[in-house]
Amino acid sequence: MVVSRLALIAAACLAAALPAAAQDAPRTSTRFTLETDNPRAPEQEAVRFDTLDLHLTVLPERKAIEGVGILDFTVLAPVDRLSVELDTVFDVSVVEVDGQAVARDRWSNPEGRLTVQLPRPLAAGAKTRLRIAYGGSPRVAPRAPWDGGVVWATAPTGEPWVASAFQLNGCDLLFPCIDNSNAEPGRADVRFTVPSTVSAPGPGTFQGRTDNGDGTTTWAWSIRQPNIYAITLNVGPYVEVTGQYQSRFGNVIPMHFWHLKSDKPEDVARLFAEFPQMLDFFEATVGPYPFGDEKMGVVETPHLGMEHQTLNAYGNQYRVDGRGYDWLLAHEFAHEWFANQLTNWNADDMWLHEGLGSYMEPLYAGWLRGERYMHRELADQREGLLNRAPIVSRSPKTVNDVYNRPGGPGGDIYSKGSLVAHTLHMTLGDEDFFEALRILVYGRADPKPGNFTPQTRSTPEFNAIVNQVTGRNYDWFFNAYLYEASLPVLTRTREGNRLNLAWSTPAGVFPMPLEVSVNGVVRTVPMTGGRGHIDLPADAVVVIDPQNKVLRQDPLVDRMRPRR
Amino acid sequence: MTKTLTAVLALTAAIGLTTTVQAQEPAQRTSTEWTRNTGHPRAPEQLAMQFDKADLAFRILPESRSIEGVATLDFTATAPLARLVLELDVRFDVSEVAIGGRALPRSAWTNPEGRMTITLPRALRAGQSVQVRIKYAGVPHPARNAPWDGGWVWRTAPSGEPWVATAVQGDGCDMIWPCIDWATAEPARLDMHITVPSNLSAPGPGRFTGKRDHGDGWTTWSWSSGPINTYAISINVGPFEERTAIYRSRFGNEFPMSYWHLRSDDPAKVEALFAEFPLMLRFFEDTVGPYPFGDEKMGVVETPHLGMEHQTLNAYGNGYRKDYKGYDWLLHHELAHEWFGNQLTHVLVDDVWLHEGIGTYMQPLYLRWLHGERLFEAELMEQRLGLANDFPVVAGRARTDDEVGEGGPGNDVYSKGSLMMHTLRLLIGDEAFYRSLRLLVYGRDDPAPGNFEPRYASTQDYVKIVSDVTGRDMGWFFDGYLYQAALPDLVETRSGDRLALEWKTGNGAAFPLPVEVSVDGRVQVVPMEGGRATIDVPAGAHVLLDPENKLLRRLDHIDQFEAWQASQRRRQ
Repeated sequence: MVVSRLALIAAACLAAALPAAAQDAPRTSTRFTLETDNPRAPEQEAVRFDTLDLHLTVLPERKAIEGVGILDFTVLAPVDRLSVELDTVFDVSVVEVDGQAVARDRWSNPEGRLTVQLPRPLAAGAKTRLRIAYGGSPRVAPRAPWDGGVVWATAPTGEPWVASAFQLNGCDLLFPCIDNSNAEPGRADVRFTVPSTVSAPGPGTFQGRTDNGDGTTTWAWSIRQPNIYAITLNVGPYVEVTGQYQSRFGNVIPMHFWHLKSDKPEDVARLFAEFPQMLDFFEATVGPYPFGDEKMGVVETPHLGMEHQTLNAYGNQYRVDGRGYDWLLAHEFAHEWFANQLTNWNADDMWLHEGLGSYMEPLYAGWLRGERYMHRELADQREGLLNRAPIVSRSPKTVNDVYNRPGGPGGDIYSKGSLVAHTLHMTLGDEDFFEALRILVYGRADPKPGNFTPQTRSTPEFNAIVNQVTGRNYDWFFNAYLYEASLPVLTRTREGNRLNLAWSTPAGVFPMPLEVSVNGVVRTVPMTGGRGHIDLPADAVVVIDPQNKVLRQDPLVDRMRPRR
Repeated sequence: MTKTLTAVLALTAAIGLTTTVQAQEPAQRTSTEWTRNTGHPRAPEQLAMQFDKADLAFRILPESRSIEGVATLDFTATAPLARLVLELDVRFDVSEVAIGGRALPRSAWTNPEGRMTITLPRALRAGQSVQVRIKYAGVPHPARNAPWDGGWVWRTAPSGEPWVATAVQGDGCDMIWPCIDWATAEPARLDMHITVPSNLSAPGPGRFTGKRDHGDGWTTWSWSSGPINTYAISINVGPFEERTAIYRSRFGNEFPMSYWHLRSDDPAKVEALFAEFPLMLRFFEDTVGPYPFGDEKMGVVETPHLGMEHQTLNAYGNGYRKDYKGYDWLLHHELAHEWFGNQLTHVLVDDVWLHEGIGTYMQPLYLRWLHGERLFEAELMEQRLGLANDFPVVAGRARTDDEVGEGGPGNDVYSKGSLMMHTLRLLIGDEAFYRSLRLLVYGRDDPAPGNFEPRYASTQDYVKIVSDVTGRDMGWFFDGYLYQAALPDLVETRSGDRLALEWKTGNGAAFPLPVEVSVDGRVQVVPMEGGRATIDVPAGAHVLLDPENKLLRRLDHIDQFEAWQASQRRRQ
């Protein structure tokens, strides 16, 4: 997702496209439903989610959907029941297990976790199929994409324009799923039945389109191992632009952009021209586009944006800023690597998505336009860090805990995460840093199309990867930057001609080397044990860390209240 | 002066802090267009004399927003001279004009529209000196929007006393005293006596030479200065307290730093700002050379308008605002003018980029000196967004201040000048670059306190300096950047394994500016002899021209951004 403070203005601009408030006081989603990455129930941990077959009929006039979800599981440990999450705003009409209807007293959905008693217990290795038919008015997003749900809008040309976004709230707002980062289905086949006047692009690969002859058309899609919040609604009067990207890894990647037919052709052309540039950058910098066998896809949405796997939501309205690229598109696209290919083990590690993803923006700016553009974005990110809670708490959290609760790091998972990544990059050097990133993202240092699958990783695992790649122990780095709220403080004291430098952080010894420019000549102080010194001529001009490689407490910046 | 666009909001806020009383335009008289502009060509008589000394006595009458003045001016004729010609605002009543102490008959002088002509009782031969004394009084021109639309600013301080300032860079000294309203017509010596109500202070330029309480509720403050920029002679009256300390220069001298601030200011803010004084002095002395007025003082006075580079008494009205860059940009900008503006003064307003462009480049350099590369680059990036490129920075002919502003290069004299200097520094290297600055500012490569005088220079003087320092004709560089409205454009054509590069400038002249090219991360320097080159680049390689953004040039994505901004403004 995109950080909300950057987007408030954009959200306000979109207000015209937003729907009227939901009518007739529908049922409301429970607190449980509105959280995502809740701990799984034991019976959810006892199964593997093999495939999701989902058919959604979208009824824009009623702002309602009808859905049928068929979930195939393999049992990993004996279970006597199944449970999935599904918003209680829906009426469930059918629950079937392995083709047999389940009696109404054998399933319940008191607060959004729908639990089904199995006809008989299943042993490890068994396969089972859960089918749920349901319908109703899904939660209307109060403020997509940050407070999510479905957005029912009208396109400038008058047709329905529908999107959904629920990274902070979970897939259970739309369909039955296991709303936890670790419960991606192995495959999802998704069909959308929509009015024939509009299109329904979807995730993964296109499987065909059927005109039902009743004014509706069904669009079929299939995606391999989607992120839990990647399957979403996109319905509108779209025009599709396509192209082919010849990858440096030898494969050819289809590029698709579904934009409103009312858009200006020059805007569309300009944005679409950025697709191959971004692919170039990410493939040169991180590695193969993870979903090259499916597509790179983007769809225009009435909300700002979201990293929906192989169909990124784009709602930045072709805004041009001085960066020389569309930051929203770049940000969401980064998530194909950092969120969709590499998925956090739990929302507590969400900086792996947002921090590493945000670091791709200054790197991209530098790659595309030069050093100045990189520094400018890093300088922007340096403003307004909160430092109120560690980026990583080392205990499981929901996404809302991370974003919106006082004990969570909030926006720091973006900017501070990015600046931590830059510091790590500068500390390790290009070679080790990017090797560690590849292992983190792909599970191997030599990724090629076809030799990797989506990965789920935690911050301690990233730390271990860094240690393994460098052959050194970088626990001190992670301890100080990620597990403490405050930034490392550098103290400088003058003793005659000697400048003493000392790091302090609640995490203990912090042996971060420092470059020091003395009258323009740069020397490196190793800071072994967190301390060091340098001898200076009298009256020398000293700049500590002249390239600004190391994130640290800065009295000039951090005394200011965050502006946003 | 300070850049209008960035400063308008700040100014509005600053005014809000004080008790504003509506400026009342007296019905009687208004300043003429002539007076309200500055940089008119000098009359032949003004070219035939040198300005030895000005002794200016003022009585400031805040209640009636009026002044009484006695100006005693010494000139030496450099050619036969029958008349003296001065500029003085027609708002003032002149009660006496005396030559050599003897009052002239009323018929001996006229001031039809602000250019005052005095027929001398006896014509002067070259080398002869004359002293003219002019007594005048009246309600001076109230500033409409100081410092950009300048004049006199009459306010009430938060503690209730009068708070008076002037800012006339765009309008001229003739709104304050009878002068020659021309950049190079500085008096070689200035004495000032400012009589104000005894509960107020009247800091002034140069050195303090004494204060006399007349016992009748009025006190006279006296100041004395060496050669002083004509628009730097300002009036500042208010309930000030002085914060002062001694600065010990790396050049061995020491001088006072003084800050006159309103007594109602938060002491912590005063101290925080004052702590920046020695840091900034240190930077400028490290980077450019000795503080030019070390035999007088470094002075700053708080003003109800945003700011102005008044020599040895910079006007500061930024309200102690700080941004994340951690320094007071307004103070820094005005202080830069002590080197670029007051020590070095342009010959023509047409060359004002020498003040504003080079002065503005000192800001990113200061950020690098203080904090490192990141804020340096971020500041240059800000400067790069928002160039107009509608008019050349330098026209190559005399222009008035208004012609350089609206209907001219406007803010490009700041940012475009700064970015060009950045390109120049990276082209010729630090050593040659800073030597060229020393030669420009001090007229010598080894400036030390006492071995230089304030000096004038033109754009072409600087072109010659840079050519001398680098040992090659650098005219093409300045022609391409300063004398053309359009930015140089690096045209890139890629076909197969070849990359062709060509500079296109506004007048089509050759522009042999070398270009660094990064090909898949490996950087090579393309010399661009004759302004063009072709290099081998593997098809499919990632090519980045000028990977460190050294070169000021036209860029598609910035043009797109500016067009987008313009379209947004139209929609509003």
